[in-house]
Parts: sequence; structure tokens; C-alpha cells
Amino acid sequence: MNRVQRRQQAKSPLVARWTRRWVRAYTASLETTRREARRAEIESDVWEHLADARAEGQRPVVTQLVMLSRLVVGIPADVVWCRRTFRASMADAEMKQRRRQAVAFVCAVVVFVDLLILSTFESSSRVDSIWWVLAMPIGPVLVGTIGVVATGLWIREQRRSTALGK
Amino acid sequence: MRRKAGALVPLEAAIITAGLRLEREGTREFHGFAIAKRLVSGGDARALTSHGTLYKALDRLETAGFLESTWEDPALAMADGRPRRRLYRVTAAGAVALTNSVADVPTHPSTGRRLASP
Repeated sequence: MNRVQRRQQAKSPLVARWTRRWVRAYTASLETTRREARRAEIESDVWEHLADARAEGQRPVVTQLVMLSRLVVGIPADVVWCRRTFRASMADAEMKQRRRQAVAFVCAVVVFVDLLILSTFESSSRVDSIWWVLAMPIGPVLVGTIGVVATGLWIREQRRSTALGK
Repeated sequence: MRRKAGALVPLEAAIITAGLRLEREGTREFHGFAIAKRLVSGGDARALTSHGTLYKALDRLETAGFLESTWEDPALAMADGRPRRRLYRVTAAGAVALTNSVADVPTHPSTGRRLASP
């Protein structure tokens, strides 16, 4: 959205702004394409409604009341549509990728924690050598930390390339 | 209770009917607000259909293949100083679904007029 559009939106009637806020709220959890399409469509509807009301010489109060009614009466249908769309999108490739990334990150964290526990156990059984006591926990912790950081960076890179690809 | 595949509720039948009427009048594509206005002027609704109800119905019709949609050229919208419209068109399958559902569409209690007729 450019500055002109933002300024126009800020000047629009109160109910139009409420409508936009509601649409932003219930579409927040949807995947990008569906979210942006719904927001753009309602934005267009709001604009057309206001333009039509102005052309017909309708009083602003009446226009706002009609728009408020359209907003409020439609809330249950919005919620139902949003839930249905969200469930359908879980099968979508983007959501599958996000799940894979989340699983990879969790695995990396689990490996890290396991290495930490293992190194603590190992170091406690060889107290006769100070170097062993220092080396045992440091090695696995270092490997685990590198693994978690690398996985996080990979996930971030994947998301960036997904966003650019759209 | 789940409805039968391809069955239309009165609002959906009214949307397809209004879309076909617009097409006969030379307007092949329509956007959401235009259909809401048409429903009021055609007597199929007493007031403008709410956002949630209207766009949910349009979405369902498109998913079922009874409507198809495209986004208009952004340059056109920018030239008019308005947001881009999503334009819908009734498909052949939509016209058939309407014909099949006409017999099931309820009539207005006082006028006896069908709430949606081709």
C-alpha cells in the first residue's frame, strides 16, 4: 500500500476503518495468497459502497449504518469461512513446508539437549583429568549450538525464498 | 446436515441469476458490490448483503466451479483512483446448477414469486 492509499484510508469513515480492522484480524492466520485476496476484495467493496452512496446522495450517517450492518451481520460467516479456509490450507504446500521446518528445528534442539546431558554424564565419570572435564562438555555443546543456529538460519532462508517466490 | 454436492442455497441461486441477467444486459463480469446492489434492486434482498455472507457465497460458488474470477488490470484501477476489483463470471456449470436448483428454490410468501429465477 502506498502513501496516497494510506492517507485515503485514514480519511475514510469510522465504520469503513472498523471493517478493515476486522478483516485484518480474522485473516491474520491465513496463508498469504488467501489473506491478501480477501483483504483486497473487501477493500474494493468498501470503496465501491462509499462511492455508490456518494453518487446517490445518501446521507453519511445512513451509509455508515448500512456499512455497520453489513459488517456485524457478516461476522459469523467470516468466522466460518476463515476456519474452513485455514483447515484447507493446512494441506497446502506452504503450510507443509512450515511444519517440516518446525520439526527440523525441534529435532535440532532435542539433539542439542541430548548432547548436553551426555557430556555432563561423561565428564562426571572422569574427574581424574582436568582437561577431560573441560573438553567433554565443550565439544558436544559447541556442536549442538552450531547445529541449532544453522537450522535456524536455514529456516529463515527458506521463508525468505518462499516470500520472494510469491 | 451436509447439503448435496452441487445444491445451491437461495443466496447462491440469486447470485448466479443476477450474474446471468447482467450478462444478458451486456455486463459479462461483475464484482461483489455490484452483485449486492443487484440483489437489492432485483428484489432478492431487502438490504445490501453483508460482507461475510456475500463473499463466503462467492467463494463457495467459485470453489464449486459455478463462478470464475480474475483480478482486473491494476493500471485500470489506478487510473480510476480506486482499489482493484475482483471480477466474477458465471460459468456454464453455474448456469446448469441454477437450472437444476430452480425447482427447489422457495417462493416469496406474499407474491408467490420465486426468489431466484433464470
